[in-house]
Amino acid sequence: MSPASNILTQFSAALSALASGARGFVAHVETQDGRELSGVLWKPNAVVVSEQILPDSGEYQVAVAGQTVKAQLAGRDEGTNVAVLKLASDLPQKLPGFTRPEVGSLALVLGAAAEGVSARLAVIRALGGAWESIAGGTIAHRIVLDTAIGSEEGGPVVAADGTLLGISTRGARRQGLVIPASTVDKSVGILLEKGSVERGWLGVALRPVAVPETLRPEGRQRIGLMVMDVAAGSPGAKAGILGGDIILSAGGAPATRFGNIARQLGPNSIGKTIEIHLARAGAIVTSAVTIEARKSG
Amino acid sequence: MNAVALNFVPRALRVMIVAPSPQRVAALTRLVQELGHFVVPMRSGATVVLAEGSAPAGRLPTVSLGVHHEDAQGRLPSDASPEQIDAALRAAAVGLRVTVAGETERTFQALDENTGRVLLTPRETDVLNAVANGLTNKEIARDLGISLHTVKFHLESVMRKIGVSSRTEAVSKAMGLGLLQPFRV
Repeated sequence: MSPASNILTQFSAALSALASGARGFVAHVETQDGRELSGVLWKPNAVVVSEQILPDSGEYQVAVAGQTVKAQLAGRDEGTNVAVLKLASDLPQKLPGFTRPEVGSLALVLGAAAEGVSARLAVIRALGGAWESIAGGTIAHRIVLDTAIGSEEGGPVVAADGTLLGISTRGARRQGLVIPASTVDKSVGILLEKGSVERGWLGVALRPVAVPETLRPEGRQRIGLMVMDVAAGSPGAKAGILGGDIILSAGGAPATRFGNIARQLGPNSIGKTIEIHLARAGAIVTSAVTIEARKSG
Repeated sequence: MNAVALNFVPRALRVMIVAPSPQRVAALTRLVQELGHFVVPMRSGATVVLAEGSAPAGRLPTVSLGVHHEDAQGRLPSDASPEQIDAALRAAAVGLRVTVAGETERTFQALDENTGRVLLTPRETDVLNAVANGLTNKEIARDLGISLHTVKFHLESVMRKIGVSSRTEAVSKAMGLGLLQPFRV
């Protein structure tokens, strides 16, 4: 009797084919003290790992498809959870093309394991637009998986057709997130070139407050961001922003959400001047702030 | 003198070590032995497992270091102190769960936009911050240049908005709601 072939065996075979096809770009990363992580061979000389779990180590050992090379940290971007390891010598690289998933579609979450790769089947649980991380990075779109992420974190997440969705990342409350490949790619480029991703800095601490009715722009904006503190010598201080001012808009965007401010402080914002509208002492004041680079750490 | 003196001597545990490399096994073995415990090579003779990296699933209580296992009773960061490891091993061995206090597991998160939930006025924000800094109403009135009556009025309004009935509660609830953490840019 011939072995049964049905839709489940075909489905299963397709998944294992995806997993074994990923061996060419799933990276096994080991620190000097023997800790192990998953990563993606993003370029022939660069491996991406999850920034939030990457321990500092003078040197790393990277293995892809049985080939082992030494690597050094090229840079970290906390904002997009991307860290890049630069390899001592190139490895043959077979990164698939990038795609964006649909809600409900299947994805395979891959990680490095002692014997090649580990795999976890996931469903794309939710999708959304661009979002800002706490550390100030902008993520091109929100991809939430229906599964938690374990030792696979930092490894690739592939779609059913084998294309690359991004890298897996553990979010709040064990939510499995995917940092989209396009966002990772952008950070990789900057980290390889400059070693860090600079973000803009205003030097102000903000809290949302109710805007007094008489000062609401066009009578509508309920929320503004009150300046709680201005760092000495910061761009905000130079522009004359004072504690107690309520920011109503910045760079033309209403200051109703932190994200509207954070979005204007990306890597390309440094040196740009933006106009800020403030409510101060019952009047609306306009001030021009020239964005500087945020000091890291 | 207490009649029921407890002559309690902490007992040595039998610990099995799981780590990704021989060097790490050796390092953790040394540490556990210096804590006064026995290191045993086999699961059969162990009372508790200290695991770094991936640990084999089993029924023994496990303390994990660094990478966390969902079913580990003890979860410590990879840079946990020997004292913390000792305490976690002992606790896990007697069936307790252990995590590091105050450790908010670092995970990748979106900016916390809580603007829609509780919205205070600028004055209420000022008063709440002053209360959180431990100032009395009188001090707040002086600092903000408003009357004592006005301070009380704003504070009552804050407490009503966040649903609490005392200043102490107001501060802890406001912290929980993220109302006291500014967004620094």
